[in-house]
Amino acid sequence: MNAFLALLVRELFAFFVTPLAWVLLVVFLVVQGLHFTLLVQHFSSAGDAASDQSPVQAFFGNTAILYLVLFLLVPPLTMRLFAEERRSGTLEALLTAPITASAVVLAKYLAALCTYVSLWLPTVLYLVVLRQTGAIDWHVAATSYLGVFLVGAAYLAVGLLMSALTSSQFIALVLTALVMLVLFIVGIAEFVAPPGSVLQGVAHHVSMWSQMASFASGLIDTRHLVFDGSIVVTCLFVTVRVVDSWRLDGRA
Amino acid sequence: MTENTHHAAGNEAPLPPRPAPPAARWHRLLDLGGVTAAFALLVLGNIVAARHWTRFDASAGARWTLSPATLTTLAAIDETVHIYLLFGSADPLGQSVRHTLEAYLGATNKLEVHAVDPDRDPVAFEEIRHRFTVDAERTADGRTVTDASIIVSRGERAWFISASELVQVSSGDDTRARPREEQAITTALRRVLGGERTVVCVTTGHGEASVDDTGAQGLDAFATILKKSNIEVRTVAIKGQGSFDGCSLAMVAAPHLPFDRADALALADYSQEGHGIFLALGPIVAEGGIRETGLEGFLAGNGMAIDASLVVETAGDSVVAGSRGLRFQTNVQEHPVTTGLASGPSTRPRVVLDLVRPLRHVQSPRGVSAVDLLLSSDQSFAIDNLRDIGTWKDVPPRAAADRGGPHALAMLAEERLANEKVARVVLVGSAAILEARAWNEPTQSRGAAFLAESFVAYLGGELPVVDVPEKQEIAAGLRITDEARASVGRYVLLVVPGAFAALGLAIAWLRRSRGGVPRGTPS
Repeated sequence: MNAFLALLVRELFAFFVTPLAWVLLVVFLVVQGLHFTLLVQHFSSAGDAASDQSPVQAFFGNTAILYLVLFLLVPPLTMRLFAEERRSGTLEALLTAPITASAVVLAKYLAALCTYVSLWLPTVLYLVVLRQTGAIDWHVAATSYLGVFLVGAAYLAVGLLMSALTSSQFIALVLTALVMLVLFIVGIAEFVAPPGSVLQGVAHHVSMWSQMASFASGLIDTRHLVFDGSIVVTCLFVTVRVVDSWRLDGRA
Repeated sequence: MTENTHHAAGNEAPLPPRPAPPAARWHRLLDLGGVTAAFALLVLGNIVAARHWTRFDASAGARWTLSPATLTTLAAIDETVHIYLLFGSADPLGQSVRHTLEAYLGATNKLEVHAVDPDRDPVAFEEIRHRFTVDAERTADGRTVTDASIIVSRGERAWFISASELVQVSSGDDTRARPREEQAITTALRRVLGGERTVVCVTTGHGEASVDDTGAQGLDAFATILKKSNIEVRTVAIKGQGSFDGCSLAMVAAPHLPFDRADALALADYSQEGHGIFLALGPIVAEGGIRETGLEGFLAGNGMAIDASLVVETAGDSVVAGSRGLRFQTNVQEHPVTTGLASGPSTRPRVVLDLVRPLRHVQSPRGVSAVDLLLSSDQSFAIDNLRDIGTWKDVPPRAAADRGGPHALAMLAEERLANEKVARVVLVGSAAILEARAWNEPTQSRGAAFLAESFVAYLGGELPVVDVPEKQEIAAGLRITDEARASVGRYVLLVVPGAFAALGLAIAWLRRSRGGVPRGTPS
C-alpha cells in the first residue's frame, strides 16, 4: 500500500512539476472560457427562442467543444505514463520494486484521473457566475460533472493502455487520439444511420454525444455507466496483463 | 524486457530473439486468452446493458419521470401507436423530446417512434406529408418547417403536436421555459386512443361559410386544422329533429340569411339534449342596418343577446392600422376555455377580430347566465348607424346614441340539464374567428384561431388534460447586463487562466531555483 501511495504521489508530482500540465490547464481554461462566454452571450440574448435548454445543459451536453477538450487533454495526459518510463529505462526499476503490476497500473491511472479532475475543478467557478445571473439546477450540474468524469475516465484508461503498448510517447498520443476519433465517428453515425437500425443502436450506445446529452439533462442511464465502466475495467485489465508480460519477459 | 535491453545496448548489434521457455509461452497464451475473454465480456456486458437498462432522474422536479396519469394511459394502449418526429437533429427541442420519448418507450412496447428529418430525408417526409396533410414551407436558410413537430397516429386517427405545444417560454427580466412535452404527447395519445371521435356538424342552408371554400372567408383552413386534431367535420342541412344525429357539436358559421323558426327550434332542441353549439354570427348588413339572425329567441333562452350594431375600437394600442376601428385586439377573460390566451407571457397570441357585433346579457327564462370571454376596451363604442359604412375613411365619430364600451364580444352559456348533461353555447359576434385569415396570421396574432379550436374542444367535451402535472420551470436565459457580460468574459478568459498560468510559472521558477527538484518531491 505504501509503495502504491508513493507511486501515486510521484506520478502526481511528475504531472504538476512539468510545464505540460500547466500548459494543458491554461489552454483548457481558455477554450472552456471561450465556450462559456459564447454561451453567456447566446443565453442573454435568445430569450424568445423556443427551447427548453438551460445554460448548464448547453455547456456540458449538445456541444462539440467537449470533444475538442477531450482530444486536447487525454492523449497528452496519458502518453507518457508508460512510454516515458520505457524510453528512459526507469521501467526496470519499477518492475523490480516490491509492488504488483495492478498497483503500478492503478497508481498511474489514478494519478492521471486526479489530474484530469483537477483540470475541471476551476470550471465550477463558471457555475457560480451562472448562479448570479439565473437559477441553476445543481442536481443537473452534479450529473453533468459525473458525465465528464466517466467519459474522461474511459478515455484515460484507453490512453493508459496505448501508452503501455508502445515505447514512443508520440505513437501513444496518436493511438489514443485515433481510438477517441473512432469512438467519436461511430457516435456520430447515430445521426446518419437509418432510424431504428442496429447500427443506430450501436452508435447511440457508443456515442459520447448522447451520453453527455443525458448526463447534462440530469439523467443517469445504466447503459452509459456500464459502457464507461466496462471500458475502464477492460483497458486496465489489459494494461495489467501487458505490464505483467514485461515482468515475465524480464524473468525469462 | 527484451525491448528495454535493446535500448540499454546502445549501438551494439541487436541480439537474436531468444525462444521463450515453455512456462512463459503458457503464460502468454493465458494472457491472450484473458485479454480475449475481457473483450468478449466487454461486448456481452454492453449488449445486456443495452437491453435491460434503467434511468435515474436527478433533474429538478423529476422532469423526465412520467406521471401516473401518463403511465395509466400507456398501460391502456392495446395496439401499436406510431409517433412521427418531424424535426432535424439540430432542433432545439429535439433532445428533450427524445429524452421524454425514451421514458415512454421504457414503459410500453406499443409505441413505435419514427424520426423523419424533412431536410435530410425528403422522400420519407413527402410520404408523411401526403398521408397526414402536413403543411410545410422552406425558410430563407433552406430549412423545412412544418405545422406539426410530432404526429401521433393510430389507424386512421392522427393528432398533430406543434412546437409551441412542447414548451412554454416566458420572457421578461428572467427567461424561463416550462417543458410541456409530457402533456402534449399524453394528450395526443389519449386523442388517438379515445373511443368516439369528435364530429363537428356545420349547418348549411342559410348562406353560411362553406367548409369547401378555400377563399379568405371560407372554412377550409378551419376544417383542415380540425381534421389534423382527429376531429371530423360534416355539413348538415337542418330538417327538423334528428338533423344532428351523430354530431358531437353543431356550428353555425357566418350565416347570411336568417334562420327560420323551425331551424332555430331544431338547434335549440339539439342544445337541450346536452350538446354544444358554436355560433359565429357576423353582421348581415342589409339596407343600411344589420339584419336579425333568427336565432335571437334561442340566444335569449341562454341569457345572451346580440345587438344590431358594430363595435368600433378607439384604443390606439388595440386597433389594427387602417381598419377604421373595426379590426382590433380583444381583451380575453379568464376561463378554462381561454387558457393560455387570457394571461401569461407578453408574447402570448393576441385574439384579433373584425366586424364584431356587441353582445349583451339578458334575463333567461330558464335562469341561464352567460359569462364574458372576450371584451372590447372601455374606449370602444357600439355604432348603430351603418348607412355610410362604405364611405368611412377613418374611425367614425361617436354619436350621442352610440353605447360606450367595454362590450362583450364572445360569451359562453352553460346549463346543467335534468339528465346530468351540460348544454353549452358559445356565441361570438364575428365571423372572423373562423375565417382562413385567422390561421394565416403570424403566431403572435393567431389567438382567434387558437380560441376557435379551444371552443370546439370544449364544446365537444374534450377537456384539457389536467391530470398530467405541470413540470417545473427551468431558467432558459440569463439576467445579465452588457457590462456584466463583458466582465464575465474578462474573468473567464483572462483572470482564471492567468491565475493558473502564474501558478505554473511560480512552480517552474521554484524548481529552477532549487536545482530542478521542489522540496518534498519523493524520489
